[in-house]
Amino acid sequence: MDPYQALGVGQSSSQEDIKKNYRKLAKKNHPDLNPGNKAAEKKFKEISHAYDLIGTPEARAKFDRGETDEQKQKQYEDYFHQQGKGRDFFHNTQQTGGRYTHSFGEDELGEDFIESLFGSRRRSHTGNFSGEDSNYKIEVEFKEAALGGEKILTLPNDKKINVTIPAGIETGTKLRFKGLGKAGSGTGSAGDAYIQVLIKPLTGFTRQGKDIEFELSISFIEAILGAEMKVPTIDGEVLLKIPPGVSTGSRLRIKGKGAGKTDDRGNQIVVLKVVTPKIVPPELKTAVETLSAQVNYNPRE
Amino acid sequence: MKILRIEEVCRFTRIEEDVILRFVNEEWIYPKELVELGFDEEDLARIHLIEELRQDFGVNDEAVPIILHLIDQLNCLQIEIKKS
Repeated sequence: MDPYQALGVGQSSSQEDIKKNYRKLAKKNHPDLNPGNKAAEKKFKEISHAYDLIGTPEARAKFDRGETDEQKQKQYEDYFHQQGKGRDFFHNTQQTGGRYTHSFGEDELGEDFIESLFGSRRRSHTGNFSGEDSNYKIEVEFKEAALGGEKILTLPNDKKINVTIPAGIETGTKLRFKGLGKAGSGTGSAGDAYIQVLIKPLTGFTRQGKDIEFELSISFIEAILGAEMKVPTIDGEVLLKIPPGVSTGSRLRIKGKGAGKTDDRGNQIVVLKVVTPKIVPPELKTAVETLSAQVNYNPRE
Repeated sequence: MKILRIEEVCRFTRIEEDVILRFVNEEWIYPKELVELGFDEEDLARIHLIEELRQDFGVNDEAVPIILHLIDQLNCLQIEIKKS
């Protein structure tokens, strides 16, 4: 071994440069800073030996004269082959969890930290990891979410999934498709695909569980006299009878027009809103004035 | 496991006794036998390492505990990885 080459210096390099290079290489390759890295350990031993040979002016002069130090050479051999005489590096004493490492693990890392690093992998065997889950989103029409349906979704890997939308599904629900996520490694199973169902809004309609709320504007005259009018539902228009004397917020039920399976559907709840014209026509004003002179009521009683 | 007295540690490592006592006082080393100062091979290797950091690598005393902390952490994690 050429110690100059091992330390990356020339024959004419100064003692200072040799020391500098040795330190630089030793720091990088020290076995305790690279535990378990055999290449680094070998390199470290090589540069240590090289430094022994040319690290001091005296040793260097000896080496340059071609004298070899038998004893040093022997030490190096022992050291290199770990025949008992070489020193133990600290990490070698900690291989199976020495006192220092062990107390460190208990006191300062704790199970949580270790779990957080390795997660569930810690419990499976090396190389056989379960694949990751994949997440997708699909949008469904309001009616389709209420009554159920089927949708075909093409995954990025060109696999097609037939997604059955259960009747009455809530927005944001995730459907699980086992084994359709990313592939596992080794004998690890594939991950799952999660498909999140988002319901497209439909103007005027809101889902409240299995019921569907629908806001219906009526005039105050209709509120007083009652009325019969066509109201939209997810099954089409139906005729709704509004009894006399309703107010804003009154709720009328249309049976069986809500969400859910055919034989188990919720109701449509029509929430009334009494609307007075912003700009009151003079005729209406006159008529109501006449009326209020004859009959009136106090809603605060 | 053989327990070494401080004089023996000095002889093996060629480090002065008061230097080793300083390591103990700084709690860089917590000897196997704390009261009677008995050192085992872990302690010996760690003393070696500390001295190497200080003398050969030019690490100052402020940085020694930081490096030891990181090394302990590294060893601990490596054992965990092997377990998994």
